[in-house]
Amino acid sequence: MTAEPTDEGIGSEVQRREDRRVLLGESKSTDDRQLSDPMHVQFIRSEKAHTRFSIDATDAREIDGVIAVHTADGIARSETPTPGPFPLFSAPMPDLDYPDEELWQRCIATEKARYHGEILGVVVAESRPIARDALESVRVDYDPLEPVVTSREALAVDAPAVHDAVPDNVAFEGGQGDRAETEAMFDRAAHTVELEKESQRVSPSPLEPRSAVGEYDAASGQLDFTATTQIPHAYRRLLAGILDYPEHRIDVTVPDMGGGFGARQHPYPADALVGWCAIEHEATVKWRATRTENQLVENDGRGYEGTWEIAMDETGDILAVRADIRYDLGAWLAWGGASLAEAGNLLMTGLYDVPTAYSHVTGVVTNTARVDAYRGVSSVPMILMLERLVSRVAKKADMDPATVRKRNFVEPDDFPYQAPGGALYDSGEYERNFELGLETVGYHSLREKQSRLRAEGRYIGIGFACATEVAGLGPASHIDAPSWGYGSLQVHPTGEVTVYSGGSNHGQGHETSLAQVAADELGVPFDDVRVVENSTKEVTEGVGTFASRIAALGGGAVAKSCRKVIAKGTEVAADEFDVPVDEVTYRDGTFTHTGSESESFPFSEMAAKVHLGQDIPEDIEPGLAAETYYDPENCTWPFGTHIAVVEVDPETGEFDFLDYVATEDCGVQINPTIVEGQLVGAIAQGLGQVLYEDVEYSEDGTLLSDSFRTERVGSRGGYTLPKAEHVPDITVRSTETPSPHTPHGAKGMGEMGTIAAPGAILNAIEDAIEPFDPEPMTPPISPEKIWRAVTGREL
Amino acid sequence: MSSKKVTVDLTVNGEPRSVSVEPRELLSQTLRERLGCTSINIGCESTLCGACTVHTDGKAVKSCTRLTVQEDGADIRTARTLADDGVLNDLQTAFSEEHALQCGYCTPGILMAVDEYLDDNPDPSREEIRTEALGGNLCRCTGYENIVDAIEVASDALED
Repeated sequence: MTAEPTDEGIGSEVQRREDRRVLLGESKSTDDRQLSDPMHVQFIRSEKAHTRFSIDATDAREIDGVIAVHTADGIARSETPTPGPFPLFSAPMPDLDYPDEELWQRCIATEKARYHGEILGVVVAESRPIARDALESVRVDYDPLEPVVTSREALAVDAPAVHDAVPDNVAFEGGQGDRAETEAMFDRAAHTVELEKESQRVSPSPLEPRSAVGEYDAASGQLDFTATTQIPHAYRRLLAGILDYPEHRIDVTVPDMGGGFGARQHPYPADALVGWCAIEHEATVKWRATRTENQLVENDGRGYEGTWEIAMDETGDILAVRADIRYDLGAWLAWGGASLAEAGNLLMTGLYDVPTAYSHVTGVVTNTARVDAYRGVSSVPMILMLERLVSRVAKKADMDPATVRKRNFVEPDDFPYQAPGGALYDSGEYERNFELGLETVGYHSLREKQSRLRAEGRYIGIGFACATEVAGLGPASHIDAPSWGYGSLQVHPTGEVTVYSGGSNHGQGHETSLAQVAADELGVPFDDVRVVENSTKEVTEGVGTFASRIAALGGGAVAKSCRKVIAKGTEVAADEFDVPVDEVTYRDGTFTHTGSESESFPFSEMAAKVHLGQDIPEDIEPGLAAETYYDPENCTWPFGTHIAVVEVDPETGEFDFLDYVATEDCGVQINPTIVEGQLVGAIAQGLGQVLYEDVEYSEDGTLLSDSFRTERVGSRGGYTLPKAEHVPDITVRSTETPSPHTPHGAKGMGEMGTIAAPGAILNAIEDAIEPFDPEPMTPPISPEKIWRAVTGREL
Repeated sequence: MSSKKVTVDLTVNGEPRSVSVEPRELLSQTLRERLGCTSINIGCESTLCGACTVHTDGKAVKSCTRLTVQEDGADIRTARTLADDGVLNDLQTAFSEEHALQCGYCTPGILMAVDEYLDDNPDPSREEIRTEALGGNLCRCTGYENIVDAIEVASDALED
């Protein structure tokens, strides 16, 4: 076989390999696993937000087919080690007074429950329906305590304490940036704007509810999980610690998974208890959440409230940005905890060259489910508020919001650029990207049209948001956690290649994009490369899929492994040609003696030769394979411009999208079709956040948004996800500023849409109704809220 | 809690099947858990997301809100019947070419809903695709635009 140069390498719009099995109806999710006589578990969950409780499971235990009902007491008495609490990803903010293990989420409640949905007990039965029936026969007596449901309530004087360890409900607090310098800038500013607002809690809501299978083999001591997780290897590491079980006797497989969006970048108590039950009963144990259960306990995102301010001088230069934030953590400090707040603060000045900034975050515990990572994490509220402030301060100074942005962008020559929040941006051409957006949307004629239509009593608005993202989190020296990308490569004697990646592929198309990276680096046909992911059995190591890391770090690791293989092949070729290694070139799948085209060695022949191990230099081992733990110099910092155009009917508050333009720059694009798909999908989630989605609790801490609804209704309850009719067509354009430090120049990009869309859409709506001098609005923005903003009246 | 079982005869993807179920059992449960039809996905259990959509006697229905006992004698088809011996049909091909799926959890249900819709309205506008063809389905990954594109492409192919 002779390798042909590939035209399906980096930059090619290859169709995804993942699609066929899905379209045939043959994809397999965790709950699709057909097992022989598994036990089924269901969880007894607290119906109260803050309560003492006792459980009487006598009746449930007598139901035919019920195997056991476990409560915290019974679990503690068992010989199987009691599952411990959930450790945190990392503890950043060195100045932080951090309340360590007392606030780590535990697996099962003892005596007191602290949020609606917390696990009180576990039912194990022969079938799922029997387990569900048994739940209804378990008697839980509640002795309710007063709950605190919002961060505002939690910080009130004399508020009930969620945990005795933190009587003031403050889990952590800390500042980033230069407080004194920021104050000085505000003192001398010509224009300042303050927004006291919230970025409401929203639910990631992957379409597949969480599920897990635990399989314990008593003879070998092997514990296998099949699970809905974004982090197979880290899931193994974490559960080994939580279950006090040897890590090398645990394996984790993630079949096809129906979305993650950050909500599955850590295991949950249910996962640990499935594992515990498998060990305890020496059995195979299966669990699938109901949708309501999923909405009750899968982590929410955002949950930010506070005050954001901007200071600008008389010429339009931004002087400083300041924020004082209350971050609602829910009842326990979960995996992300304070590190997520820190990540958002890093980029609180966005794409602008701002001399100084200061943010102060108070992490508050409440009697609600955990708040943790959701696509864009804390960058979403920080960029939303920043972009609202920039548009508002421009208007206050009677300047065009586009002009103020252009005036303040970090310049191309300023990279690497140290942002005052702590980020070190790697590369960017922000103004070029912004100008492409303006040109694509036809900005100048739109402003003329806006003014013409206003004279006719019609109101269109143009909204901007410019954003960056912490993509491909690293290096380890900065974030106090494993953050490398893992990618290894096995070259078969035929020259075909298997790539092993340490992430999880659940919609991002890694089976396709990582094959493109390897095909491109090696110059071999795309069809000769297979990608294996989602498994600790097949892949040696990994950190997982989160923080837009696979294109940059997974792809970077694969590229580096390819280069190691080429380096080995080059040594063998040099020996074969009897020339120094620097006289060997590798291009388009062939090793060649430079300047002598007749002496060449195709990759596939090299693979066979090295595999056999005959006639190769003595100091070279047989076999063509490589492994890379790629710890990057820095995160990558993609960027983009989002411009929404809307028309609002001030009589009713109804609005329509007239246009939405997104110009993306994520460096070198591995597969532009996948990039565009990720961007548009994330924009729809950002649109959902700003227009429809809202996690609602009642005053007593009962989750109201515990199931989907698809229409906005006046009454409370239900969680509204955007439908096809709610999302406009998006015009996507790209610029390309390669990352200077990833091997292939790619940056991550999966979260740009959720970060930028809320600000662009909200700014457009507020721009449309500006003649009515409305108060700043609070998302989710409904026609009713617009009508109230326009009229200043209540319904 | 359990009640008397009822025997229900179904034709599932062309095969006659007989099941003995409690009256409360949902069609989605029967198909997934008894008959191995795992192309049917469960997203919401409340008729909102459409991931469990199948055809019963040619009509697209959400199998999470049908009782199996209602379907005695029904001809039920899932997304596994759309391809012809492994060859994707026009709608499936368009979904792949237009990158109309990411995680794919919603996809089999959308294919079944749209397959029936295009029978009745073979040349829909984009607006009709958004409000009608996709009116009963949720997708959390794609932002829908590529799905709308794919349905347009498929409807053009069907016309030819």
